[in-house]
Amino acid sequence: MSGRRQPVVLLVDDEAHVLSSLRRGLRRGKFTIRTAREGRGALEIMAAHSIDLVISDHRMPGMSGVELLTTIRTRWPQTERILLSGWTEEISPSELKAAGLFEVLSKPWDDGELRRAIRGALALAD
Amino acid sequence: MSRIKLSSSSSSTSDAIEGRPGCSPETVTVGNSETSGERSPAAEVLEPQAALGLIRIVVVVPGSDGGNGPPAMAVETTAALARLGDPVELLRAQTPSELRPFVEDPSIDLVLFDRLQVADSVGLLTEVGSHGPPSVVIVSGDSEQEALEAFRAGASDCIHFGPDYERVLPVVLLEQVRRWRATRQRLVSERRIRHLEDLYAAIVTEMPAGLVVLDPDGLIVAENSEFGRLFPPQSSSGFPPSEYLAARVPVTLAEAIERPPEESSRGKSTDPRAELVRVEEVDGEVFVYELRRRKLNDGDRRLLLISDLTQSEWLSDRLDTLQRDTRNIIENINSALLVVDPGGCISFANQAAGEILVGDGSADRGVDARSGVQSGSRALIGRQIADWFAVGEECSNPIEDCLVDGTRSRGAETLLQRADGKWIPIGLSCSPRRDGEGVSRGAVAIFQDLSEIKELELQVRQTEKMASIGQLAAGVAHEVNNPMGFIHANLHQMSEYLGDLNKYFGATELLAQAALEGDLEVIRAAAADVRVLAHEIDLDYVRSDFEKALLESTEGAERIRHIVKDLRDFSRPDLPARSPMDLNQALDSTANIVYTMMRHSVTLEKAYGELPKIDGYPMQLKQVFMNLLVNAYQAIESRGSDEPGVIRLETEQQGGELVVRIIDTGIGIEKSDLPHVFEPFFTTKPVGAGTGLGLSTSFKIVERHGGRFRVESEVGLGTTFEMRLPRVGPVVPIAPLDEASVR
Repeated sequence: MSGRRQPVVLLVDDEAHVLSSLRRGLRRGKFTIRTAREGRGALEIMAAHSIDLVISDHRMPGMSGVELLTTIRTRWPQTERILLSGWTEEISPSELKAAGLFEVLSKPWDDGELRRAIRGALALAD
Repeated sequence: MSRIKLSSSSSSTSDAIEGRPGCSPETVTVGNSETSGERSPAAEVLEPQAALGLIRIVVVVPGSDGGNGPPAMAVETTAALARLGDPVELLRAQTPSELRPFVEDPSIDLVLFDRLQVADSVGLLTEVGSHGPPSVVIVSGDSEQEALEAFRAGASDCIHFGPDYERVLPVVLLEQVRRWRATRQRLVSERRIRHLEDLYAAIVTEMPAGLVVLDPDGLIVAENSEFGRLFPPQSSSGFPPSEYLAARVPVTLAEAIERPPEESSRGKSTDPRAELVRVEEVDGEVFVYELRRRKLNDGDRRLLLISDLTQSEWLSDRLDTLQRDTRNIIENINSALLVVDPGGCISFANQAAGEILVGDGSADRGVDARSGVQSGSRALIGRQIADWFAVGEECSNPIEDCLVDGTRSRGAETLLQRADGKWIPIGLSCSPRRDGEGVSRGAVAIFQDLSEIKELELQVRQTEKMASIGQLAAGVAHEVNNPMGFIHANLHQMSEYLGDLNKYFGATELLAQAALEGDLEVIRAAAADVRVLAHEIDLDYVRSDFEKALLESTEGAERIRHIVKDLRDFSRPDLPARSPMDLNQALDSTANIVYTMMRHSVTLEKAYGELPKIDGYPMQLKQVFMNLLVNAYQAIESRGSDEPGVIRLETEQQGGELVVRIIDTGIGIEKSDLPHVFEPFFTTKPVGAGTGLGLSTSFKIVERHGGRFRVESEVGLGTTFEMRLPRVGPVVPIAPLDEASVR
């Protein structure tokens, strides 16, 4: 991956306020941020752009976060994946494993922790 | 001479003559001579003889003129008859046809021929002599020829009409009468004996017992045919049937017969004179004989009566066993059993009934000390069943209903109250008892204590509720954590913004200071710093985004507040009694809470109609709504489509009923599954997704409110659950679920 290009992070959440607060928290980071409100839109962005990291909610209309991340893993294996969910107990371990996640974060999240996870994932992606 | 006393003397036709139909033409009663004062020597001879009573004598004499008067006899004869000492009845005959009835009459003692003057007297004599009473002929004093003729004709005796005539006649007559009477008596006795013999033979032959007479050596002297049938002679050698008893009957029986009666162990025969002897054959077959024995009058011979009771013993054994089994069953079933008479009075109660109705059944245990058989609960006998059913609207008494009009009940749930005040839920079945004519003889009731079952049911329903709540928790957690997430992040961000802004305000403060001091250079420098800082902190962005973050956070907080409020509304515990409630509000608060979890895949449509308040248990009904909503949501999820589904909530009042419909566009229910959806533990959900109790619990709750359910479904299109509750609820016989759980 080209070192000159700013990393691109895709945020997926059906909740606009979550997206805007994530943006806020990552405002000072050295990466480009894209957002999607649900799984299908996220996959369109994946197809149209080069994405280094996807951070997705789980409970969303249509496709669930784990489904989305599993799909991304299959089609874009070089893209790292972080799950950010308010309730992860309902996801079975096998599902989680299938999605091959870099990290699972739960809401409410801590911005510092989130930034550390992103940095870690992006270093891996490099 | 006054020695002759004819009671009717000369005026004989008046009252002394009795005309008897079919009998002699005339009778004359001759009075007792003893009434006369003087006794003749002949009378003294007769003295020691026992009195004979009335002597009936037929006199064969020629008829008088009219044929109706007393027999015309010689004066001497009349006098002689008067000396007989016993009353004499004289009857007259002069023709064979007149004489014949007397010959057949056993009360006639003698036929007296007053000389052979009647035509064919010899023929008459012959007729009498062959089989009738004795005949005595009075012959002329000098006629040996006449006497000879009389004897030849069959006369028993002849009397010469001579000087001793008056003395001889009574002696001869009495002798003949005595002899005849003795003969007659013997004949009667012989006949009677013959009759008794016939009877005896018939009895011995026909009696259903084997009869045998033994001599002192045990040799069979006589036996009847039944004995031969019971113990056939083993006469292969061709010996006569006289043989020893021991060779005929089984050894055990022979031993019992030889044992003195006192030593024999008396069986349980109802007849104390009889003994029961049990004989077990080599092949294992068992026979039971009843044995009666007695010594015959001669003291040496014994008479035995042996009956085969094997069949009746078997039946009575069987009856005993059945009775014991039945009693055992009745005593040992866990169900209580009561028999009450038409007046509602307990006539039988088993152990379980005692345990439920009295409490501790052990103290009351009626164990028969001898037989060891529990004989039910005696303390209850005679008590009124109504004592346990408080008269009130909360509990019915199915037994009373059964006694009043024969209503049967099956598994009716009701409450009874024990003397210690404890209420016990029971399930009771009751049937009337009737005799052959259909007249009521009371009722039989069988019931179970449902306390434990109710408790278990409660626990299961509680579990079901927890399961539903668990499903909710995921949705609720997510819905709370989402706003919490961005509020938390925003707060963090806003504090950063505040730090930047503080820096900026610090710079502007310096600028203001410089302006007041009026040093233009300093002012310019300060202003430049402010600009740099504004650029540094991206002031425009911070100002607008601060506000935006604040608004978003406020909105998020508001959302959390709503969720918490809905949860609180949803989970408010029920009051112990039913209370007025708003069905729309119960449905709405439930829908709101459930909606939080299905917001992403479901559009909720609400069409609430105007509803009056009803008396109910809000928490229970909310549980029903939650079950239905969760089902609807799962049905929509199961479609596997990204298109959002629709859940439509409708309420309306129709007459006296409040109608709630929950309509989904989920996968629908297979036609074959539809009839089972309200059955406990029926589920089509994957393992772990449901207990299969949600709808059955809902059904119970709605039933408890006097309502009913209807379900319509089409696979691929969706399902409609319709619930109808009466505006005025029913009397609820069972305490509310939630309250009963408190212990």
